[in-house]
Amino acid sequence: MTDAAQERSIKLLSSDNETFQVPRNVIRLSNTINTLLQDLGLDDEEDAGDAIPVQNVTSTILKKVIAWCQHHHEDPVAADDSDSREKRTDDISSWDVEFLKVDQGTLFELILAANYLDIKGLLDVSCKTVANMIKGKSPEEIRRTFNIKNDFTPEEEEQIRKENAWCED
Amino acid sequence: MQEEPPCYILSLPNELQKMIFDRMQPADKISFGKTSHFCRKLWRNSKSLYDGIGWQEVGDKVTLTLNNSYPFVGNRQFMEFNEYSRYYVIGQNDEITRTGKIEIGENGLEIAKRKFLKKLETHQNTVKSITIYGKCPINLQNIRNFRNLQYLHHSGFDESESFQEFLSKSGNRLKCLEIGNSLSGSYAEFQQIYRVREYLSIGFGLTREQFLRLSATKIEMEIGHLKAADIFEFIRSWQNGTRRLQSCKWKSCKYFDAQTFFGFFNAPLINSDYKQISIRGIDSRAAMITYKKYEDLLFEVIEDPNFEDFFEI
Repeated sequence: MTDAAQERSIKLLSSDNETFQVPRNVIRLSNTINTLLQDLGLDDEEDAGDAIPVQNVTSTILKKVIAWCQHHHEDPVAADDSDSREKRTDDISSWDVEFLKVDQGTLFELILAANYLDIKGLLDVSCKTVANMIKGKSPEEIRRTFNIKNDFTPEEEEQIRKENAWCED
Repeated sequence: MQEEPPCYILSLPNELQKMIFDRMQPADKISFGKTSHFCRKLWRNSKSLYDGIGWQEVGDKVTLTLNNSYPFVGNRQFMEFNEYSRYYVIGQNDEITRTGKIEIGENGLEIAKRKFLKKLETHQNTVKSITIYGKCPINLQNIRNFRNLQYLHHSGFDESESFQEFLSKSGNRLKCLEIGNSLSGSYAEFQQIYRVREYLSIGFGLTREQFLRLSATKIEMEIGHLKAADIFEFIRSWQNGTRRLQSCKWKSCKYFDAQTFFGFFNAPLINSDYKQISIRGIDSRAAMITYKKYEDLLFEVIEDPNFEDFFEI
């Protein structure tokens, strides 16, 4: 990549109309943006023109997403080994752990944004963070953690308990 | 009125909820499986987790599901246990050997296996029938003390040494034996197969001599490698003896011309003892033509390799 290409930037427009200037090589982590630029034939243009609307993402979240990309854009590309990636939740880097120490609303919005922008690394690490919040908790604790209302009837709950009773030592 | 706090996890699309559960580790998943009865919607989306290990008792039937739709086991197992017949089915799909994923999933699988064996042990004096599909983690050692075991269907066991040991201890009381294709080794060493009186199903073909020694009255096996004359001799030996071959399912008849096969029955060999004759791998059109000659018989020409209910005669 040439210096010029590295210095190129594009503009992103959040759902609440805030514009962000982002280096092209940083936002390259978003497959959605990549595809969009390629489809519009703007990927090689010096000036990508108007801001790209990111309709589903607020400025607060978009700022976080860009910060994440800024930190990770030089990471080596992970092999597409979804099988092994799915099996661990204890491999989150300390930077990501700190980055994702946010309220639940922000964390889940980050998941949605990462999914929308197709940023695999961010989606993976944010899903793992939620998975870690579920681990080792009792049903009641899980309900409390996520504000989940118990929608099982007593009969259904009993049935499920019965089905899983054999697991209990 | 106090507003209810938002529940973000439930507002996620299903695929994202699943993505979260998919990132849990094997042990977490098992743990989660037993605690996931906290919400119907999440229960559904996390089903792939607890599907993996489930013990369900409905009436007299107990079903153990070790479903490997989730990554940590990487295979599929199924076990069914019927209180009356003491019938177990344990199964796993071929994926496990193809991908070697069983190694990855040992943790979860071992836990399931341990718990399963504990359950199984409590029934060892009453279980009469065991069916195992696939390369099951349940070793035959685990069932050799089953005193009343009479029916063994094992389609995926491939350690002939262990199998032989099992047969040497248990084989004499077996009425029915079904061995799958994957079992390698010499059948000649398995003396018990000749003593099986009721039902014998074996994957690979016997030699002519072994074939003629069989005493089971219901037989399912490959005969594609045998000469027509051998089959003829076998059938005739049954017809002339005191016992009668009640049914037979011939597999791998692809080298066996249909007309030749049915030609056997033009000889005065056929009688009412033949209630079912199932043939797989031959030209069904030719078979149907022949069928018309024997309308008093229940002919079944099977082209689907997964035929079942063999005992329905």
